[in-house]
Amino acid sequence: MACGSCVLVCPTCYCFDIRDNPDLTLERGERVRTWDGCLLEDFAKVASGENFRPTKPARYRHRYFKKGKYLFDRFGFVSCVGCGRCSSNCLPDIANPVALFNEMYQETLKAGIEIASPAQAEICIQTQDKIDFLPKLATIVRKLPMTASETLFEIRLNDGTSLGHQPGQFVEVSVFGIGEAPISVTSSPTREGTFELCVRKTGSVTTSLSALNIGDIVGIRGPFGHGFDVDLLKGKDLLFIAGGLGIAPLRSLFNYVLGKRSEFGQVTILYGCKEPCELLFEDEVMSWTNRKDITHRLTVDRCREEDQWKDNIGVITTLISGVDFDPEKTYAIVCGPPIMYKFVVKELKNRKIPDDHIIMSLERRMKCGVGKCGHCQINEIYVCKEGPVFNYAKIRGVPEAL
Amino acid sequence: MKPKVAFFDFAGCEGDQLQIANLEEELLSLLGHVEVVSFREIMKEHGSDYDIAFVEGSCTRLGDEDRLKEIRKNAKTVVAIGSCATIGGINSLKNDKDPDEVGKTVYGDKAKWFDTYAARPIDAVIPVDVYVHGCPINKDEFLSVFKSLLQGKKPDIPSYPVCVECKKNENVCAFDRHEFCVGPVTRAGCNSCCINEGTICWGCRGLVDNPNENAHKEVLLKYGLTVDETINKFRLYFAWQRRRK
Repeated sequence: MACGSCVLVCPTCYCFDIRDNPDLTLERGERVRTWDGCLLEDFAKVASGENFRPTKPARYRHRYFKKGKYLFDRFGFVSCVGCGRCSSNCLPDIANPVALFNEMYQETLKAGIEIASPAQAEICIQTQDKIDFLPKLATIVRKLPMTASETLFEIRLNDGTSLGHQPGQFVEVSVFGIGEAPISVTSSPTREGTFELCVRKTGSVTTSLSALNIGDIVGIRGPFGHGFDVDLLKGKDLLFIAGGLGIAPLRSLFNYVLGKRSEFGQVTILYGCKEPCELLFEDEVMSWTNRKDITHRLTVDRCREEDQWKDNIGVITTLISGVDFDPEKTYAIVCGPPIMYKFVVKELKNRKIPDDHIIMSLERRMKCGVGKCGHCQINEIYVCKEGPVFNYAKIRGVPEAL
Repeated sequence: MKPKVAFFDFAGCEGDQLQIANLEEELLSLLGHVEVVSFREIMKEHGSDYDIAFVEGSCTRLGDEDRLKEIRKNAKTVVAIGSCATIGGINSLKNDKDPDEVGKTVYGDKAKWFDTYAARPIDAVIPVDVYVHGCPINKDEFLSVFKSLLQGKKPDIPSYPVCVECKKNENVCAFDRHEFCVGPVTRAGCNSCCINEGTICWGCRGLVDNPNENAHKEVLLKYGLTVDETINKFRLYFAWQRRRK
């Protein structure tokens, strides 16, 4: 029935949401944590409207796997205490994890299967003050509108420290009174003192953020997540594939590579967007033309005659066939809208790139950023901690990943 | 400059505007942020220059459509308040009956003087930007939507059903009290106020976006409701939404 009763009464369910509640002055307010549940429709939905767990069966599957498998693998016990609250509150009588888990246990005994306990249960009790929930204040020092919907912000932390991020990591940006949103850092860590965010007007936070000006204060938490493994990529040939706003996280690595060019092999960048007017970082893209040490190709899905577009027209995969690379030496680094990955991976595999040479940055609803709220999970994987950058070899075959 | 707001009413009881008038102290704080140009329940002046229009009531006459279109033309933001405006409300009950019969019952031999048609929510006539559901609206939710409008933020209107709030409030399920409730398919946001008070959910906030009606009907039947009673449960507030599907 998708009513969510079972997750709300479950004593081991812990997923939560965070809201900003301004008071009637609209100048003060509070940020509150409320219960949330993975069975509710919008649980994994991001501001763009993409829902990463869109169907009722997918959400139901996630709940059972989380209780019986993901948490078992992490902590060594099934996360159902057998209290019967969910089954007694379930009107259609479909929730009965106790019976299910017991039956599965009996079956494994009968079949003589040894259930492997996790080698070392990852139990660590964190007190509230040790978790990075409190934003640091930061000031916008530069604002550069790039297209009708994207703006580049340069931000400095008020305490004078550098952000200290790896390429590919993200921060949680607070617009006080509106909320918090995860935004990937687009500047290279080699830049000191300030960092850059490329923001697309999509939901409430990014729309309000885009309306802020130089000197305005925002909140920053992070950097969070696992970025690109720069040491792994050293000495290798790199093939960057960026679709639309996917250029933003890739730029943090790309500019890092350009800054230390001699440490890497051949560098190729393929960048596509819907229309010429949506091209981001136009000045930088133009400057690539003058560099002899990189190859770049641009494409748009469609264009009008007055755009005077001279490069390729077609989806991003049409560019892949036009570039030469040695599949054994090359690492492909991919970021774009969710729909893009499937096709790009297929094309790369046609070109014989091994799975572990495909690296991708994935989008999910990373609400808390610290692996607590549950919104960003792909199966057992917390994207905010283990991602957003993944090696394809790790996530291929994971049902919810691509 | 303060945004100008105006309140309008169509077929409805004006109970939602009464809820707003009943905000009392909070209303005074709100009035610091806006200029009210039209609100017939609390003032006699009327202006036609406004940014935000709050519209209560459903559209039940062809002649009302022009007035609605005029409001849409003047306002930057149109907010539907209350069930009649958001989902057609109780008024849509009449849509399942013979219009001549309805006219005769209500107006007797004067029925021919009244030009009415099937009741409909205002988004059946004009595009609506924001919905404040409920019969009547919940004061806290109205305040939260109002603040969001002032901040330029998308209001938080829940997409989940009343059961979620009901469980948070630790109520005994209406079905366990041998009563029948449409909370499992009704949009939350009311803080499950009716069940908190020991009654049931009648569904005044309308169906959630993707209700699992079939599963809910099975539940109603399983708990002993007859088919006719089940249909009536779904007709009270959901008449318009279900017909449109």
